[in-house]
Amino acid sequence: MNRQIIFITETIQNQMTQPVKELIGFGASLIPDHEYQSLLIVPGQDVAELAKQISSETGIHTLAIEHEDFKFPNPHLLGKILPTVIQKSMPSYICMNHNVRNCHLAATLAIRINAACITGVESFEIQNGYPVFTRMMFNGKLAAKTACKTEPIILTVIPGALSDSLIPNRKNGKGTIHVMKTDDLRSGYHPQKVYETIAKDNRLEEADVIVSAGMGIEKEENMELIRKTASIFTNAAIAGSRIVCDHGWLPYGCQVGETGKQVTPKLYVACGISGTIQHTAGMKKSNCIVAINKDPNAPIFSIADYGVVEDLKTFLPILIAKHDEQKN
Amino acid sequence: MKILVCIKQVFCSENELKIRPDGKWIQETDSTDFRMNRFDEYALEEALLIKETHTDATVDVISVGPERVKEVIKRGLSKGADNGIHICYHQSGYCPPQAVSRMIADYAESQSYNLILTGVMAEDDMQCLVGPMTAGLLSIPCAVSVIKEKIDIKNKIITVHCEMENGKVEEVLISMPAVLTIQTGINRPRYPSLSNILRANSKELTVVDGFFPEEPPDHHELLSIGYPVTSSRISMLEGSAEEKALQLLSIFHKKSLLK
Ligand SMILES: Cc1cc2nc3c(=O)[nH]c(=O)nc-3n(C[C@H](O)[C@H](O)[C@H](O)COP(=O)(O)OP(=O)(O)OC[C@H]3O[C@@H](n4cnc5c(N)ncnc54)[C@H](O)[C@@H]3O)c2cc1C
Repeated sequence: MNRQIIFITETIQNQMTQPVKELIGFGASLIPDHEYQSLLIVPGQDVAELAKQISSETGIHTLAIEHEDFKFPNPHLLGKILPTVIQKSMPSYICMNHNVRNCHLAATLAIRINAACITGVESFEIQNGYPVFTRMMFNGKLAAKTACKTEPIILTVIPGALSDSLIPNRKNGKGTIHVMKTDDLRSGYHPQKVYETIAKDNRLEEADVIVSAGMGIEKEENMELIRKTASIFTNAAIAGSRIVCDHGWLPYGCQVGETGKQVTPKLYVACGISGTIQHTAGMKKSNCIVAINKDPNAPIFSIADYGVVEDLKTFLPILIAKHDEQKN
Repeated sequence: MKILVCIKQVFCSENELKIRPDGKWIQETDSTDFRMNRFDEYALEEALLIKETHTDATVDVISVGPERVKEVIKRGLSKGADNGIHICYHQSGYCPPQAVSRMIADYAESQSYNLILTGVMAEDDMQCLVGPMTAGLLSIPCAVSVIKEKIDIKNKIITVHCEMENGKVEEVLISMPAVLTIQTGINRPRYPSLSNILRANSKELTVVDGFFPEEPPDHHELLSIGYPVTSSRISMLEGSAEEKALQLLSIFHKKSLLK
């Protein structure tokens, strides 16, 4: 019997929030002999057209699930509706892109259908015919290998887990499209709207160099060191990790990461930043990354071009002084 | 209003983490440092702020784990929580969220909480699952990554603002009772007060025996943990601090970025 994979996408006002092509490729590569059937679930308010479009682009079967409360992401309601859909096809895997709402959905489904659930999957390898998943732990410092004894397995997959070149070519044939209307279902979760919070401030986009502060700066006074370091460059801006902004040491407009800004300067200098995926999601595409951290095992070093293991409180003053010496 | 805050004790991951010989968890020694999961600090603070505006509210803190987790429960009390519950679970090592949420839900069910708060993620296993799984087990709604909430106690409705990616926020109405997972930045966690520290030291904790659900089919197995391979593109600068500074300056100079 062919195995089944279910993919779930997310929409805001009938638009997908993240692409699904890579996700579909990830799922496909979980089944080495490629003998599988797949279904993409598209929840939304009015998404039959979108489902049709994805179907024709990828050749995958789609199921549009419509409800007025799906105008914006609604993991609670989806978690209520999906068990009946899923149990019909008994999938081996249920895959979605990794974000907090999909972790919520994954958790709800895991409880409802009694399935294993692994979030934040970065990669996998097949061992003895079974996949072993790699994901990060301890603020990104250690990688963990996890396996499941039973199916189905619910996965939230971090974008970038599979390079584009590994994505199998789409299957031939056209996918079917089904639409399920669920408006009569009630739940205690009613999304009202989605709004933007980040102030329009282009300083980070325009800077050649970003000097970024993490909790390694320890206290607000040390922000001065970051400012002084930025001032040795011709066109630099300062930024920070979320926690630095949470402390009010920098405005939120300066926060880099998954829930902040995505930046791609010529040079990103990470000072005392641990480098969890939530932060690196916002800066890993920078042209050149320099990491200064006193912990030689800090995960930021795994994406940096140049690493300096030093205490920034002593190192940055030396850097600034040496620059001033050279200039004079 | 009865509020429960789920707090976790985690390793201070900025320190050196030694892996156990069996490769399955961190080696604990007498000098291992622990702290309250950063995200849970914000969840607890939010509960304490709610208590300040809803004067009838009580705040309980609960933690699952071995004897040492009493430390974080005491810390919760010393910040102003009313009661501490320790679900004593001795098995050291990784405890999957399926098991933790079952133990919490089991206790919570008997207490009819109106609101359950926890951090959006634990810094150690980084799974973002215990909150929503607890909600799933109790069959109540959950909102994740909350950065603002307003409680309408009369109509039993909470307006929550949930953070998404790239600066987007989703506003949602959810019915109570509910589980909210709290994101950092929602407030500024307070420090313990002296009077609360004294009270916390004398306060008896409620201790409940933890249980490991007998191999339920939904468990995954943690095979091993290890330091990830560092990127091949990195060059670690060597030498004294001065020498490293000079190397960096020359790299910056070559890129024509310096003043
Ligand atoms: C849903 C979600 C979304 C998130 N979004 C974001 C986001 O957009 N952006 C973001 O940044 N975070 C985000 N986070 C938080 C993220 O997971 C981390 O908690 C955060 O990035 C850590 O910040 P940090 O590196 O400054 O602090 P820490 O993790 O505390 O790291 C401090 C680092 O400084 C080093 N250090 C300490 N002292 C010194 C010293 N004297 N000299 C040199 N180095 C030193 C330490 O070794 C450590 O590596 C998000 C989390 C969640 C759950």
